Amino acid sequence: MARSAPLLSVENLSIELPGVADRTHAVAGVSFSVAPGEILCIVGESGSGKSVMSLAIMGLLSRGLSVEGGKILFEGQDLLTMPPKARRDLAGRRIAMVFQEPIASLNPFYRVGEQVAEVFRLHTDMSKAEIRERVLELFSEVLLPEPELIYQRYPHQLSGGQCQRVMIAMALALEPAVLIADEPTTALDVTTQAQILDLIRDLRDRHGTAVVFITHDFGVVEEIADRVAVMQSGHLVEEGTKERIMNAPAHPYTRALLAAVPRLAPREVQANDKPPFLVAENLQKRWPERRIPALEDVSLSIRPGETIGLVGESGSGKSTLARAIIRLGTVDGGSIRLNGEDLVGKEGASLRALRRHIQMVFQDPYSALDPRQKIGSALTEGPMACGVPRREAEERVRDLISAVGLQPSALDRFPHEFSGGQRQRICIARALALRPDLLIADEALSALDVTMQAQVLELLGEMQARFGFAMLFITHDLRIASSLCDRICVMQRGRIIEEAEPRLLFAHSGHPYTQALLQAIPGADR
Amino acid sequence: MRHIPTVAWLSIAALVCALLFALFGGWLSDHAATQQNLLARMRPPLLFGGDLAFPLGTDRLGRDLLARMAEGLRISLLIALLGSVLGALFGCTLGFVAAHFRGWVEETIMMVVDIQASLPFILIALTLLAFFGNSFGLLIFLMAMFGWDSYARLSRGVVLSAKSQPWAEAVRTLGVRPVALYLRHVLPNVAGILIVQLTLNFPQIILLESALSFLGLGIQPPMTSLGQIMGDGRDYLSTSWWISVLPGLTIFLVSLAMCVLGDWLRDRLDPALQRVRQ
Repeated sequence: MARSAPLLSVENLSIELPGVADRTHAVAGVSFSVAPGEILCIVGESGSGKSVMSLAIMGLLSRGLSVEGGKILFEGQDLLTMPPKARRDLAGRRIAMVFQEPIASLNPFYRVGEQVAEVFRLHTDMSKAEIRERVLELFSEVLLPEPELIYQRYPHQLSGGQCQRVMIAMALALEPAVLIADEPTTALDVTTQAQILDLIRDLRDRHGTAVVFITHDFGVVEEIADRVAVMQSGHLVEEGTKERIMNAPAHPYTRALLAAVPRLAPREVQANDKPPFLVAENLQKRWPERRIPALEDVSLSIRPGETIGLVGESGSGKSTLARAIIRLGTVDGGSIRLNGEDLVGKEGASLRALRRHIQMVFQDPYSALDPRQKIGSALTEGPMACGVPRREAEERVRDLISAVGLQPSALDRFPHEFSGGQRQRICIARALALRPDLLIADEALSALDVTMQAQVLELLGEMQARFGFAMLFITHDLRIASSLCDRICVMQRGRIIEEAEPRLLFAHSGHPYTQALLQAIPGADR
Repeated sequence: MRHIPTVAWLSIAALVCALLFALFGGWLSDHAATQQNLLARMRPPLLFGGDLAFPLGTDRLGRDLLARMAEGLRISLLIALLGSVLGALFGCTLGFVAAHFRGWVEETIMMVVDIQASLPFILIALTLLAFFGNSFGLLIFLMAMFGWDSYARLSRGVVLSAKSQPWAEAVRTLGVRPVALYLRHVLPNVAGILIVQLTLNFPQIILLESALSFLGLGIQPPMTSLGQIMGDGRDYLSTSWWISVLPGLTIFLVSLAMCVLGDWLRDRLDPALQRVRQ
């Protein structure tokens, strides 16, 4: 496809960071352009400056950040030298933005239809009836089911995917020439993500909108991009067509990012005929105000040393099951037997005595460590609580901290001194300090960048080989599950609908939902 | 050292001065707080016609106001300190208990909190003092009862939210006992908020004690407190204003300094506000 004249071009843009930051510029000398009807993906890890740049284009930079030099040209006009009022008008009408957290971007007190209608009230002189008509049209264009009904709903009554569709409808309301989408699918499920990507592609085809799509996921890039720009700590290191970047990346950083993308590669299953040590049977759980049960007749058994993947959309009951097994949540019925002892109904000291057998690594490494406790004390606390003498616990922890790839000096520091990936290593060490039989990882990788993901995944494998624990790995990413697990359980609406070895599951899955999940994997066709 | 604003410095300085005066102010005077001198009744302070023998003047019995104010401030601060610390301990314990057990325990405790919050406390205090006669112990008890409900409500809220943090859940799954979880993890994380509440509660207790003593139901002679000295001067306001005004001014300044300090501490320790500032 021959490129037409660029619609939006950024020339040599530099944005300064305030003095305390670890580098001087959030964005340093970045240039790129996007033409009508083109989708440009900007890829990079968190902190690479991609979001700051999109905010600069919208004129939404927070105080403390300032543009040091460069130009942002829209249809030949420099946005940075325009009078503020003209710029606001332009930013509202011709350039629109979709954010990462759809629910947080909508006002919880107003009906979503009215929030979209407000855009028209502010920028046009259409009558009330015309506006309503137009909003309903937009809602059907972004494929919201029953637009009339959705119009009357409040944000909390919609799913994440539906909220993101409303946000996209709002962004498209005035038919902008440029749509900037900042990780619009990161907070969504794989299946919803696939639908939103379809929608954006489709809108581009019909309206010729130029799209700047910010993401950290090369799977998404594969699905949607025409051209790709790769950013690393404020610099644009490589730019080119999707085919060129994906097949022949020139910059080592791009190559590293691509290598870290998880692949759909079912692993060889190891023969394991040991009897299961953990058996959950017929678990039932209902939330008071919801029709769909959280857990419906769920049974699961885990053998020593094996890895089980638990996949499914959010709300399918994966976390409820994990929390029931580790007894952070309760169940309404059923039994969970650990080495023959029923965990359900155990309280107080008898429950604490069983705790050390099952440990968990949480999703968000930033909130999983007590901010006021030093790492050393956080790691020894578990072993000491179950009766290991202090000296032995300290020895164990020193050994573990180097096993997870950190310096022993880390023990004397506080959580905030570590990066997300390092914290997740600490959380893994904390869980392993108890020598558990089962490690539950609840979306333990989803808050991390791809390169971090790959490292932590490798670490989990090493630790499993060394300590021989079983693992229950919860994820919505089938690619990761396939490369790690001996068995994958697919959950939907509180039930395990399919349970099989990865290879069998991928080769001939019987269930349409599993097939839909497989279809939705970004970049799956490759 | 991070920047401390001028008002915060001023209030810290004022409080240190008040504390020094309470502890050592008596040494500035040649007279004991209770020593009467009928020949030197109602002497005005220095600069208002008085002399160096009684720099802050004397009261109707010729007692030296400087010595009495030091004594009174010491008692007032002591009562406020004991009262707020005891109240904080009592309220926080109930708040932690409510947050831990939930269910009917929580409902009962919060019900009592609501009742306490809707009672006209000063009337209850007057009734109790009138019934049981007043003693230092009863007064401390009353001060502790005043304001415990706000600690209970506050600590229940912050403990509930801290408890649902992933790190608290992680600690639970390690097999740590609930008491250790609350004392070693939750308390350090919520202490800032509770300390701020303490600094805001403290001046209120000073004011309450002053009010009771002013009415003659608080501290009894021969002991004295700022409120009592004020009450003493009530009948002589037109002729010897200094007997009431000087202790009143002291109460005002100490309470104000404490409030300003609490305000600043809240801004400093509240992570939400901190993020806004950054």
